[in-house]
Amino acid sequence: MISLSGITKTYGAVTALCNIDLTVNRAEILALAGENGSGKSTLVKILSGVVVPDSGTIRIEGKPVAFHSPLEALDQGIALVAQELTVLPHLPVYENVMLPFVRHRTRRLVSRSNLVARTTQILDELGVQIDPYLPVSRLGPVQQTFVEIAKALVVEPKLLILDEATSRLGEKEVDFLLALIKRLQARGLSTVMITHRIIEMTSTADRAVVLRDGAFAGELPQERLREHELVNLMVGREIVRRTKDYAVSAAAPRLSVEDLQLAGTHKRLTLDVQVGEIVGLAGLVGAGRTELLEALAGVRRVAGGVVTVDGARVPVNNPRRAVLCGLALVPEDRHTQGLIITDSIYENYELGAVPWLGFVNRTRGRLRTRTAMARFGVKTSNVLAPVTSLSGGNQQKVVIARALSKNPSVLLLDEPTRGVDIGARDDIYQIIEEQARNGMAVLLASSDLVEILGICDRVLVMHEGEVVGDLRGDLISEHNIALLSAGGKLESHVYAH
Amino acid sequence: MSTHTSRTASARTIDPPGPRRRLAGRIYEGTRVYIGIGVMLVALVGYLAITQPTFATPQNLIAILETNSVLLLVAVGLTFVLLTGGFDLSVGGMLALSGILVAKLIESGVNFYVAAILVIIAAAILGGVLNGLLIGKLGLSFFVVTLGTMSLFRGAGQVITEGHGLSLYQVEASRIIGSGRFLGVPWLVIIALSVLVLAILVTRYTGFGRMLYAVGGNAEAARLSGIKVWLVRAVAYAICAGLCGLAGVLESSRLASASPTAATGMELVAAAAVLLGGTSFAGGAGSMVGTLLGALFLGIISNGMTISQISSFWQSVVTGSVLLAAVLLDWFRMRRDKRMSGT
Repeated sequence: MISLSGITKTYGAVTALCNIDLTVNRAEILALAGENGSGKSTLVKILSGVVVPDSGTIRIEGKPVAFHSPLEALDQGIALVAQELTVLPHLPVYENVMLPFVRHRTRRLVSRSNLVARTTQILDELGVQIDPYLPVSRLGPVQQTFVEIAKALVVEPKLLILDEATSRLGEKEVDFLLALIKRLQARGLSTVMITHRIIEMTSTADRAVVLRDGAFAGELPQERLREHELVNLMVGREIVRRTKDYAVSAAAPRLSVEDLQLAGTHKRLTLDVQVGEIVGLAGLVGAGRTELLEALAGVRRVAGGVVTVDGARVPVNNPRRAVLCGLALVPEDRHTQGLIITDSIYENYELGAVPWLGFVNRTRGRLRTRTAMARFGVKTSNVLAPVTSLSGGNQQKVVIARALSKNPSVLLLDEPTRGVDIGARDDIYQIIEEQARNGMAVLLASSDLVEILGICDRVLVMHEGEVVGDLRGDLISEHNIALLSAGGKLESHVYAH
Repeated sequence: MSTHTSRTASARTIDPPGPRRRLAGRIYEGTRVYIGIGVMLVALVGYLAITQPTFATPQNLIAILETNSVLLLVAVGLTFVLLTGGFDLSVGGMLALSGILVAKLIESGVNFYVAAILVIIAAAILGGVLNGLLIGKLGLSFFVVTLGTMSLFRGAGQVITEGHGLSLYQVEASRIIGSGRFLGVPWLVIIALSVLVLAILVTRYTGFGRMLYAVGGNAEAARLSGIKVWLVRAVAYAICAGLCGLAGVLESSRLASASPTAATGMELVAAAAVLLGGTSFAGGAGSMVGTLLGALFLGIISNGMTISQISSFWQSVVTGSVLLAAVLLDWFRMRRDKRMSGT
């Protein structure tokens, strides 16, 4: 019914999708699978007109179409339920559900009672009970998700795209939603679903298409749609692990975390990192890795638990004390969290280094900055130049250099090489390994399995806010990590805390 | 791994920049934000000096400084707030209220200097608590909060005086500060410029000063690196209110009367001075020296129009046009910088 051919999309130097072909048949449930960053979301955004591809064609019933906006895709019967909620929180449910028709209202006025009636009808068809007059902000995430789905279905689309729609739902609601998709399938609706829970794909989909690194990795028909085969296709590559030339001490741990409970959750986290050990934190987006690192750095609220560095207790909820106790964080997004983009290299390196009434000695500061930049291989002739004059990799080195300038004993790294070119990436790995060799404990969260497998001595896998796996030695494999991240269980691995 | 090692080794040996290039680069980086306002200021002064014989006289130049010292103080205070990415609409109201409080305190027998210091401290606390905590700690919108306090402070002044002005003409110390001179320079100018120098030192050479820029440039990055963002914001509003307190004392001394309608519209003129001086409305960029240039520019325009006998009604038309021109100029410069850095 709908076919994509030769779809390519690049963002700057990064190729998000490369020459993708995809066909969705009438009344088919197609699962789109792949690891973080494999290009699934970009592909469905192209399919629904949110993103315009660089090249390639989209055909509907054989006729070529070009979408320049989500509206045009909607007119062709393609409706997207996006990964993030797009509800208008202050408006009532019926306004949200009927939003796709808002542009028609200028032409023919639609009465409120009609809007409410249609909303009630579609909600009844879905089998959910929500008061159409309630403002959406008063609903919980589950009900909001169903409002989104109602909004997508109210235009009676031919193709429904669900991008991680089940991520906000509990087990019961997921079953309900999957049954609903099956029911709509009987009426001729096609569905493309993206989900990180493998069981949802194997139980519901007719076919799975797997993407890897922005390219087509393989396709599984229903009879071959099994957990094991899916994970193999998603992973599908051999990685050479780096070997260490020093031994990790197994004495008292450098960092020890016991029953750490983040504010607003019930999950408790327990882990430790030895002297000189690099521990990877793997998991899907939203598994709670960033939250854990931020909590350790004192910048996310913690409800309870004990954090110790070298046996000394670290007061939680206090970023300043966390730094003094030897915890330094390199945040996930260097543009919004790591750097002050309007400032110079010097200002960024020295950010927060001088106390309130301390004297800012610019000459000394510049000298310190220049020394640090030379040490970490940041090529610059002038540390007063804007930090934006550096390449992405060198900007990241500034953030890492700042964290290291506080002489931490524990380095918390969140996606340290995201958007960093290959050369600078190796530099960063060398910096991390050098620090570990000197005894620093490193906790490294990454969605890049190559990175996790390449430099980590041990891998903790997180799933839905909990550490679900502690992989050492031979157990560290892409297959095992992918399996645990998706909520699966290892066959021959006993994990107990 | 061997190839990596050799490549990074070469990357680590960077050439130290030559001293001359370093100095030139430093001067350029340090002054380029003033180029726009600087050129306009020089052109304006040049034009007036040639066409108006009365302009470039010492008396006139001192008069310009004297008339604008109160504006400069408010603009300096506002710069603290704008650097953090905020704004304070209540400066005019705080100024008027402070003038009235000083007059009231003197009326009840307090010494002028003691009254002035008490009022400045009270203003800083009031501004720090009301504006600072509501905006910094609770995260309320600076527009709404300072719109409220603007009305509140202005109204409080009117309630206290029942709408009338209070005379300070009999107060000797107030007369000296308001119109006296020291070595030929008005006390108002000496005080305003001293505060300016202090503000330059604070913003450039203290940790707090650098935190102002960090909070305005990227509050999240500042928070993650352990800066107490809310406290920095609250202190910025407190300093701004304190300087408005001082400005209120000086303004009522200069006019020898404290009026509840003093400095009406001051918030907008002061904002124009700060923005003309290159401080970003989005926060994180700008400087006290720029604010001085901006305030001087507005003062000289107004003075030039008066001595050229142009109707004062034109003044705000010209100020507005100049402000728009300055913002456009800034936009062009930023676009060029962006192209050059290739992002």
